[in-house]
This record gives sequence, structure tokens and C-alpha cells, in this order.
Amino acid sequence: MKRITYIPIASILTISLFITSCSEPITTDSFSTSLTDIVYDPVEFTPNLPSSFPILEVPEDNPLTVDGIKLGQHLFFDPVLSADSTMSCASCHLPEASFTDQLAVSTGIDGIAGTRSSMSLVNIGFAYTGLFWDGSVQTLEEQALLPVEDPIELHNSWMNVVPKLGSSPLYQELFRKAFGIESTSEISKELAAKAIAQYERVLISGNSKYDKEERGEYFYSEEENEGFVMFFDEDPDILDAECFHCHSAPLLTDNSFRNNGLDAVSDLADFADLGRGGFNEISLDNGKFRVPTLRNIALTAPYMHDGRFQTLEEVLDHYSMGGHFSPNRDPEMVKLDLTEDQKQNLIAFLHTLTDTSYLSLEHIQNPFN
Amino acid sequence: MKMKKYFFILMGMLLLTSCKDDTGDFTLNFKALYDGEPLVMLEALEYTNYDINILESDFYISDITLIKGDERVELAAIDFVDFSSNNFSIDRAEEGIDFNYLEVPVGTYDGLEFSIGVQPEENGMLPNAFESNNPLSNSGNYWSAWDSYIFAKLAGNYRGDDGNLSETWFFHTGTDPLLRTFTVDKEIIIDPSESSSVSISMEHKVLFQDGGDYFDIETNSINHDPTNLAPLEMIVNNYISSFTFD
Repeated sequence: MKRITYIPIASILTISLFITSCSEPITTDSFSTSLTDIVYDPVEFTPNLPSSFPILEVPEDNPLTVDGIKLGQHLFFDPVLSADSTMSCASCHLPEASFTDQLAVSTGIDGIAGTRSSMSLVNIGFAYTGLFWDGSVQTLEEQALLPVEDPIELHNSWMNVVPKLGSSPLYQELFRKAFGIESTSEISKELAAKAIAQYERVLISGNSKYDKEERGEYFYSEEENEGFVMFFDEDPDILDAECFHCHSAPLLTDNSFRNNGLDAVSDLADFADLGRGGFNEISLDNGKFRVPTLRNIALTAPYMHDGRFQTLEEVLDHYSMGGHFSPNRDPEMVKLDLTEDQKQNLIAFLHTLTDTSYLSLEHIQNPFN
Repeated sequence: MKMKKYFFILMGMLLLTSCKDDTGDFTLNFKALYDGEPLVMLEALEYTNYDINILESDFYISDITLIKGDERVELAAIDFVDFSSNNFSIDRAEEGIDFNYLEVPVGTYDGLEFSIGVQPEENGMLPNAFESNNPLSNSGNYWSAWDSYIFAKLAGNYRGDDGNLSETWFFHTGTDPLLRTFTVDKEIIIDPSESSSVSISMEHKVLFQDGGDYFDIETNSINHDPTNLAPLEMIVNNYISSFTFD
């Protein structure tokens, strides 16, 4: 009887030990160094948000601190995260390009092209419906773990990265100050991801001409104003370009998932890229992608998830004809038949969404420059 | 000392038990129908002398309240009935959407009331005032030109010249005058021992009733025009008659 009882217990113990060993965080155990000599004095960071912006929701287990952001800033710009130390997060998310790479699709360290365009990271902290074009990852903390090990991005492993960080005096100090760890053995991919998430959460852009006009600090030109009125349907006597349904204020996105008529398909299974539906396996969501912010849109060409449009003119031509038919094309994609003047007015308004004032902020700049 | 300790533990347990006995759970379920059948998004539907489909049907409900004489027990200030996301299959359409309200005071209520749309106080606020788990935080459902939330969205396609359901129609309602209230005139018993529920079915074809006929979607396919409220008033009034409950 006893033997019968012991065998399952032994098996469970063995399996438990196996599972425990597999799921243990990757740390710098073999290079353990005490860090307690470095002062840990966390200071809360309060981002300067425009009053029109939504509430910035921060996870309880990853509050914003000055040193947490600083660590994230270093990791974001440091090519140490890639296998051959040639690329960093910033390689595909250039600050001066509103944190895109201005390419149709991004290419990783092995020269392998991805299938989708790098999304702007400005105001990414407010993307509560999910990240990436398909919303397949819910939080910045989860997202930050992925590019390091993605074979078409940084093609590295955290097993390689974490010891490198632990052996670097710079990162020893930054991790200690950010999270109060007492030894390099506590440096982990989870803490690195938390720090990157903190940095990304404070990439706030809210000081464009559009914002200044809302605050009464700027007056639109005639063209810009016509474009604004068409964009937001402010005047029933002027053509409604129907933009605001998806690109709603103040973020200029509602972060929803929509099919904006890019591809003509008669069957929902025929989209070349299934988008949201490829993630959640709901065919009604095939061909839908997250609505990107239009903030800094003049800096982020080419456009759409696959970079198919080179210019804003091409984008407006697409919307003007109502997009291509597919069964789940968004109902708000209607034929507009915009005149050239109307297109130019809309483009003039879109240019008022440009704001690069964040480039001058010390906590956002490349710390290695 | 020991007796005193046991006394407080006993009192605490009694208090907890009595609290639990004073409340029960209640579920409000919504189902979407078209011509009496569960509505599945994108399915072709016979309309008048042409077909349509529905791609989007969602609306806010607010001030969801149980009524007992003059007494009102608010279950929730706001919820969002989102058939657009839910009804992607026949199974989901048959299940409908549940809103579960916990720890409702026990009692026998005369009925339930809710409004279709957003109450004027909240409608005077912007989405940025609400946390992301509140349905009012969705900026895509706010219409700055109207200073109002979009109370309800209805959208789809009708059959075009190409033979496909390819021509768009959509109607968005909003603004305080278009808020409507529906009453479920039915005894609802909240009991701690079992969960009670009310199921509301919404017949979508009724939404387009125009007198004894149906609204011509082909000739009036889009409306969110504040200067042309008549079709929207017709639709918001039809929401009330589209609901049946059991």
C-alpha cells in the first residue's frame, strides 16, 4: 500500500522539480556580485500629460520611477540586446521618426524582413486594447520580452543577454537604482522588460500645433482649419471625411481593430495577412488591424501595416474611393470622392499633428550619444 | 479574556453570514435577433425587396436599476451591449451577452429599468475622465462635434449593383434628447440561494420600422447628421419596441 502511495508522490516531486527548474527566471547566478553599496532611493516619476489625455494606467507592480525609466532608456538604445550587438529597440523605433523606422516592413539582424511595419510608440502607454497591429500582446511588460528572442528581430536569447547585463558595471548600478536588487543574481529578463515598459510608457507626444490650437496657443491656417472641420465633422455643411470615427481625439486613434478596405477579397479567409483574426481565430476579425495613431503621421511614411502607401496623398486617394470591398470592410469606409483641394486641406491638418518636442527631453533621448 | 475573544469571533461570523444572506446575484442577458432568428454578424438578411447584413450593433445602457415601489436599487451606472464583437457565430448569438450584478439586496422587485444611451451627467463628460475598464473611456464612441457620446451604432451593408452586400449603411445616435428608457415590467426576486436573471431579446428588424413600412436604407444609408434627426429619432424610439423580455 505504501509503495503505491509513494510512487505517485515521487513522480509528482520529480515533475515539480523539473517544472521549477524550467520556469526559474534567467539570472546572473554564476556572476553574483553584491550591489548593496549602491544607494537605492527610488523617486516617483510623474509624466507631464496634456489635460485632454486619458488616464495613464500604470501596473501596481511596475510604478514609474526616475531610475526605472533611466534603465529602460539605456536598454532601449543598447545593441547589447541583439545577438551580434548591431541592433537595439531603437533601430526599428527611431525617436526622430516618431519611434518608427520609416520602412514598409522592418528587418532584423539576419537581414530577414518581417511582415509588418514598425508601429509608432508615441503615446503607446494608452494602448489598453492590446499591442502590435493585431493586439496579440496585452501589456508593455509582456511585449518588451519578445523582440530579443524573435529570430527576425534581435535573434538573441535572454539567457545570453542577462549575464552580459549582470557583468556590466553600468547595468549593475542601473538595475540596483531602478529596482533595489541586492545582487547581480537578481537581474532578470522580467526586470529588464519592466524597465523598458516604464520607458515606453512615458513616450508622450502632446504638443503639436493641433494640441496648441486646442489650448488656444495657435490658430489654424485656412487650409488647416478646413481639414480639421472635415476630419472631425465639425460643420454639417462641409463634407465629413469620416476620419474621427477611428482616429478619435485626443490620441488620434481609438485603438480599435478595423478592416479599412486595403484588400479586395470576397472570402474572409483570403486576406494575405489575417491581422487580428490570425491572433484570435475569429474569422470576422480577419483583415482587421489596430488603428494607428495619426500623431506625427507626417514623419512615419510609408503607411499601413505593410507600408503599401508611400505618401499621405496615396492614403487619401484610398480613403476617397472608400477602399476595396471585402465582406467585413468597416462600415464607416464610405466613398468620399474628395476633390484635390479637400485632400490638400486634410493633409495640411495632418501636418498639424507633428510634434517632436519630446526629442529634447533628457529621459527620452539616446543616453549613449 | 478568552470568552471575550470568542464572543467577537462569533459576532464577526454572524455579521458575515447575515451580510451574505442579505444579497443575491442577478444576471441581465441580451440577445440579438433578426426576423426572430439569432442575429449573426455578416449573414445576409432579407429586408424589404433587397438584402442587408449587419456588421455593427452596439449601444450603451445606463442607470440600470431594480425598482420596488418608490425604492430604486442601482445595479450599474453604465454598461455596453456589444453585439458587434459577440455575435460572430450562431452559438455566441444564441448565448447572448450576460451582465452579472453581484450582491444585490434581496427582495421582490416590481421590475427593472435602464436607458439606452448615456445619462446627461456622464454625457457632459469626456472619455478621458474614465478609466480604461469603464465603457465610457472609449474615445471611438465619443462625438466631439455633438458634445455627446454615440449612444448606439448600427451598421452594415446592402446589396449593391455588383450583386455583393457591398454598399455601406450606418446610423449613429446620440445627444441627450435621444436618450430613451426601457422598463421590464416583471417581478424579479433576488434570493441569496439562487441567481436570478432577465433575458432581453432585441429584434433588429423592428429598429427600421417606419409606420407600417420599413425605412428605405438604400436611399438614406448614412446618418449622423445633427440637422437631420428625424431618422435617428425613429430608430431610438424603435429600440424600445424592439425589446421583449422573459
